[in-house]
Amino acid sequence: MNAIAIAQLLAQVLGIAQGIAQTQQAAASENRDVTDAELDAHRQALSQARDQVLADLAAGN
Amino acid sequence: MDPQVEAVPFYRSPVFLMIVTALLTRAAVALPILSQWVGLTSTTISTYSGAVILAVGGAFDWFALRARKNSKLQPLTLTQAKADAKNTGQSGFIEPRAACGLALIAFGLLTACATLFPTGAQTFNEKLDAAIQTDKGVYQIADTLYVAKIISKADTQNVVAQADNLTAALDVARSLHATDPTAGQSKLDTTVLAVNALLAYLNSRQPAGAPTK
Repeated sequence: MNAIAIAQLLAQVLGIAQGIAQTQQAAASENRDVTDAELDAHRQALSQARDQVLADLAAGN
Repeated sequence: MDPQVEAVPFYRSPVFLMIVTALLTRAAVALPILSQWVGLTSTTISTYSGAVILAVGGAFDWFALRARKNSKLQPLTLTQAKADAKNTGQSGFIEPRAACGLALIAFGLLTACATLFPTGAQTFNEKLDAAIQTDKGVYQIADTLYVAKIISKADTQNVVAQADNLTAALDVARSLHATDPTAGQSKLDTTVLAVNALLAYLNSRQPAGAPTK
């Protein structure tokens, strides 16, 4: 495992925690629930992450 | 000094910097909780649990940071000049297994933090959002591990297949919740456990190599 891979892994794990915290904080600050639009946006980001791993698998990286 | 030991300035040690980053990130993640405490808007057990987890993780990071700072294996110096003064002139990689271990500890703690932090989620949508973002992280981490040749293509494909099933389950939970909230919540709770288990599996994978420093 090289330093770049470790840094990427850390960034991704941090991204999970920060993404969740930011969404909840935004909702809490406006005294509302997480909206369908936010769910749709994050669902779309999930699909993009899936597309990326499939692309790397297909490319044989 | 051991001839295999070479000092480096602190800013050239990824492990040291990662630990600092972990500490800073925990502080950032803890801010919403501290804000809630100050505003007295939430006193739920889950919120306190999240804070305790963060505090314990932060303590681990602090001790790891102290251990690395005080390590005799590869002393850290403030400047390159001081490092040069300490070195014997021979170079080499220093304790890659130890460095790798520290990196894995930091990675594991952060993964645990990311997995457990959604305990702060209260509503169905909050929990669903946390699960979606964690599931997205599974794809991203699997991709990174695959590209870095830490896990095989077959293993990556298997993880992706499992993540696909979990994604579908999250979609089902969302649509089900619209007509039957209880069933939707149950489906979501079950899926969250599976997503966290898949993330924990990725975290458990041992690296094929070692950090350069």
